[in-house]
Amino acid sequence: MRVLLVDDEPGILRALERLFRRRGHEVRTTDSARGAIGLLDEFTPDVVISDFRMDGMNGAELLQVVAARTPGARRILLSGFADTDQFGGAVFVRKPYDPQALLRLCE
Amino acid sequence: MMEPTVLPEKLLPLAKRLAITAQVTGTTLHVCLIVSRWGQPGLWILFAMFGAAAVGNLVIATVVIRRVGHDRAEDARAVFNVCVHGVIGVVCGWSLLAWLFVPFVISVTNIPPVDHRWIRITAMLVALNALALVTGGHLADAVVMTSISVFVHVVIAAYLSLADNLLRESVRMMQELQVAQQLAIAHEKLASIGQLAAGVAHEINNPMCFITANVGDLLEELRATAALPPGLVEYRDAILPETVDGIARVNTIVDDLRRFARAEPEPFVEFELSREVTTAVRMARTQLRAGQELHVAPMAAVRVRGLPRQMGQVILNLLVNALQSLDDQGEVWVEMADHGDLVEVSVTDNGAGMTRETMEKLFRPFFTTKPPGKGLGLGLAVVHGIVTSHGGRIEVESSVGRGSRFRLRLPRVPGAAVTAVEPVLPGDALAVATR
Repeated sequence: MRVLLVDDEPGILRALERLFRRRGHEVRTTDSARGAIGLLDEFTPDVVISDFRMDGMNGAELLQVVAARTPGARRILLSGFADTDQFGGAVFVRKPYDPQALLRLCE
Repeated sequence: MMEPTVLPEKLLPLAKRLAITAQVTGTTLHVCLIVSRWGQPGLWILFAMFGAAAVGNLVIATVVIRRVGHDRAEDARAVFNVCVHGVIGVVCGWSLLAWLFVPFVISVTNIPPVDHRWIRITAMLVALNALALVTGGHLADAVVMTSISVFVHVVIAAYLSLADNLLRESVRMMQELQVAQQLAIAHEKLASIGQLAAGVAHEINNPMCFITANVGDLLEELRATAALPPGLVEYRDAILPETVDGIARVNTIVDDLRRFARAEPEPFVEFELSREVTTAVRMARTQLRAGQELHVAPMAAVRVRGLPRQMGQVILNLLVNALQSLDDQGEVWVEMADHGDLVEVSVTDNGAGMTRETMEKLFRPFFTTKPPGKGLGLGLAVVHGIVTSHGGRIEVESSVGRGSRFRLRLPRVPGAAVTAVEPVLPGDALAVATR
């Protein structure tokens, strides 16, 4: 499985990367929505997990772009703020996440 | 409604103006009467009555009123004025000027607020009219003057009553405004605390997110490693599991703070009340002082519908209040009983107890018996709000020096299984029968 992780908090990004790599998945990471859109040119993810609050474009806007560019990709929005369960087809996961539940959601 | 017997302070200038006008009018009437009777028999009696009316009313208004009170002084004034003006009427042969004293006396005396004024006015009119009719007065004059007397008195009384009501209403509105201002200030303070809490919670949440993941991964890694050095075995078996528990507690607190600050709407769910009671008891135990005891009776497993976290907050609040009311040897009992449609949780203490006055104000916002800075007085108001929003009721009984009992009654989910649930600590169980 090809996983794209987007978060401006390096600690979270590393923890997520470790979680998916251990399971043998191919992982790309970036700390901004712009970086993620750039990566979509060379990397077609099966799953995109994005933080919500980031400088510039937020996670929900990024996942809308992802939905248009790679319609088959599963989209997960990761945030400390729980305003709704769904963001236009993206699944909302609240921080701090349960690693096993997150894996089940993706695999 | 009973008439007030004391004039509001702001009406005093008006009453003073009325008294002065009455003195001037009375004097004018007397002078005109004396002039009209000049050179005729009985003039000296009119002079005597003039003097008597002035001195007598003054003595009644200053000395008698202090000795016998307002009500009795008005009685004395009525009898005195009937006598004086009866004599004037008889001496003057009930001329028009003599008759004018009747509406004057009736309208300026017995001004509200005085008790029994209509009884007194009726008695005065009956006495004066009867005297007039048997001493040569005309019936038509009596009827006209009685009507004018009643009319003038009613108009004066109505205006004074209106002014009195307006004043009282404005005082009440001012007091309400002050309370509303205090509530707004307190609300603003709470909102600021909430915003601060939300900000802090969000800042803590991000690092806690990867701390949780990293420590969990490390523990998993150590558990997967077959031959660990002895120093790391303790980490795998004790230190890291404890750390994971600690992290989970911090995450729960952060989660609570965010929920509190953002007031996120939550749907009602079915939950087992005993679990929330047990959690609240566990948290309350941390506040027990040496010598104090917290007993929990075996609880029925009853399901209710609502917000479990809020209900836990309610029970915890009642428990903390109970513990704070105890002396060093005090005890608190928690019991839960299934009453069919309702489930009852009671928190009983043998602490300080409350007066009736305190109990009446207990659930009002911002009522507190704690010293300034020790509490906003919102705890039980919030408890009341939560219980009511769950369709429940909360009642309190208390006795000063003997303790208090709070009973919380909630509608239970029908048909739920009823099985015994172990109390928090088996040794704490009370011998209380529960179904």
